[in-house]
Amino acid sequence: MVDRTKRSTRFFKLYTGVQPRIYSFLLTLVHNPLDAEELLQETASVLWEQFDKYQEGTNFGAWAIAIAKLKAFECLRQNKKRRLLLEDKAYRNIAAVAESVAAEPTDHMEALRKCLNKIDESCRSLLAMRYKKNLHIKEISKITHKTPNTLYKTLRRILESLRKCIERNVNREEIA
Amino acid sequence: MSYDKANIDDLLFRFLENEVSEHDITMLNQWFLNDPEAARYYCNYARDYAAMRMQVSGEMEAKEATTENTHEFDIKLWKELAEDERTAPTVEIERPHEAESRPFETIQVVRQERHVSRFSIVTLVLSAAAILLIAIFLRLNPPEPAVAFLLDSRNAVWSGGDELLENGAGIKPGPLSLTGGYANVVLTSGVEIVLEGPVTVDIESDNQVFLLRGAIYSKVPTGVDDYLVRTSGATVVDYGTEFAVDVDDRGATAVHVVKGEVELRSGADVVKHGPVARLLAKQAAAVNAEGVIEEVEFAPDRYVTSIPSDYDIAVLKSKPIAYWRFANYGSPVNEIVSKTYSTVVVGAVSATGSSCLHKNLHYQALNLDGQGGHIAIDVNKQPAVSSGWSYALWIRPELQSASQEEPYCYILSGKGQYGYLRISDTGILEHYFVHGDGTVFCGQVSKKPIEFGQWHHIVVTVEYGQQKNLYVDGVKATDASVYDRIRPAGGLFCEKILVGTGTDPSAAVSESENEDAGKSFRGDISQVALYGRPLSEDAVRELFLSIR
Repeated sequence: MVDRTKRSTRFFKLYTGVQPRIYSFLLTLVHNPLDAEELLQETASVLWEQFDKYQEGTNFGAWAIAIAKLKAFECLRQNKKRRLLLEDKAYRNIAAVAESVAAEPTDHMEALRKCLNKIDESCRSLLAMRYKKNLHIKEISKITHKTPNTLYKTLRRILESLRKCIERNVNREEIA
Repeated sequence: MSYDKANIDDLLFRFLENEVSEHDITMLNQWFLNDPEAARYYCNYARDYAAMRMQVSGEMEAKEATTENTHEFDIKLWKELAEDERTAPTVEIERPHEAESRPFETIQVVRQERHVSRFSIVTLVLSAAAILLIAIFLRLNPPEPAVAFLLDSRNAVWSGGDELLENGAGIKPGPLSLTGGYANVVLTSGVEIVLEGPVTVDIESDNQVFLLRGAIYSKVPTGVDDYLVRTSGATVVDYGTEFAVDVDDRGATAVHVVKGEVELRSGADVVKHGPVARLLAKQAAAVNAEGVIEEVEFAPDRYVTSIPSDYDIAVLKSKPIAYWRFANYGSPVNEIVSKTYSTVVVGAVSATGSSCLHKNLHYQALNLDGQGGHIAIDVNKQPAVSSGWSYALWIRPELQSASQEEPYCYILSGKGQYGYLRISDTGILEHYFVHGDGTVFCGQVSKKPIEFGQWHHIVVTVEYGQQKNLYVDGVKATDASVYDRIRPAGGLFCEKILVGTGTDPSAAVSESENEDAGKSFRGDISQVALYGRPLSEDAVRELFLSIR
């Protein structure tokens, strides 16, 4: 029992450490937030089932990303007729780069947290409606009386500002 | 190929939001496959987007623990951990040994004197000057972002440079002159415009176009507001629609609304303008050179709504007297060459998607149910021409029930001049004429059956006084020596062509000529071209090979 507990604790610790990176990797490849969340769960299940095979001291993150990659390509294959997708070669290019991006150490989450505190209330409210309450852009359009096109542009600009802010913060940290 | 960062960011954002169109996907494919930095740029963008989603939606773990079905795994894990906690025996924890204290070593850092070479100073000064000059240059001449992309083109000839020849290229504000061929341009707002040369247009912004000469067809997606087409004498304001705008040589501006609604204003000024007319679907109006708005005949078929396929171009080059592609304007008839003939849809006829067609045909097809649905084309008692005639079309037949008494169904009929083209239940094609008493003359039967469920290119050619020919997929399909030559006294004429049936059901009672020609075609028919001359064997082959 103690071993099982230790195993669970160890897994949980390793998994939570890499979970944001797996999600980011999955979303990059499948470019659909709902699919990415579902695949995250599936990846976690596979990792847990096969955790016995994991060798302590090896790179858990790389192992997790490899399994996430298999899941993502499986999902893309299944979605071929249902969604608009890129050509296979494009996905292969993206996957290769996304793996290396996922392996890079990053302070982005911490930097983003700071940057989110700096944005104004209306932007925060729009982000919350879209990504916290998961309202569709058309529903937000009805609430805010703004066209979906305008809302998309605004969301994109918020992301752009946040990216610039993250970059500044990360660079400052690196210099410090 | 140049890509504008703002446009790429916009595309990537919509890509990650799962809100992309087919055009967006085409552009992204081109970008990913042509730009070696694309994947890296996208991955960094997606990483930040994912981080934003995660941050905003709260701590993912906490959120997942409160959600039921989709997060079963974590709940299971937590329960397991809780059970272990409850049932686990007490474990004595050894007190850790005090860490041995290690004495600090003092390291003396020796300050080294830095030598700066004169060369480094000169380089630094020159670099700074260069950066300053670049900054001043960029400030005075800021690079203009692309407001549109060239999505696709065919046989396009541009005046004023070759840089626009490449599909996927960004287009900056300014005049764009297409002297020949076709182009499909998508504005960054999502509006798609189709150009057929000669046309000159100035894409003023991502939502505004100035048409100097020629015609453009605009497709405005839902959610795009305030799209404008201006000309020297008029302004067209879109209210969510598809429409063609045409500037003729005298400076008059005509608008043909295919879908939705537009406002046509006299005058090019967006704010101050003259009379105004609201136009709904299937309405057309023009602002004449004096600024007066007048009603004109709705004629959308004059304008290309998408880039013609290789096959279309081959047909147009072969100079037909009429050509129907059967794109869907609400009615599945789209005549793109002749303006003379009127078409009527009879019974159950629908337009199938382009995916049903051959890869290089692109367009929709007529889907006929075999229950009498057909297209009737009034050819105005067209007299026989001395040299003969031809027609070409694509068919994809479906096998009809073999239990019916009549073992044939009719593909195209034109009582008199065009005769009857039919297919048997075994896939054999037959073309024949009938005498007034109903007896068949000059019939021809294909030597091999064609395959049901597959697209086939069919051509019938008749040279007056000579043998007529039936071609299947570019190859002569009949034995020319078997049947009579066509040489009827008084020539032949035709009032009506029926696509998909043998006899006009409304006139069937009085038809003694061909009483059994009633079984309709089941399957798809597309791209019907009519010629006032017999096509040569080479011309038929060239038509067929154009899809390769």
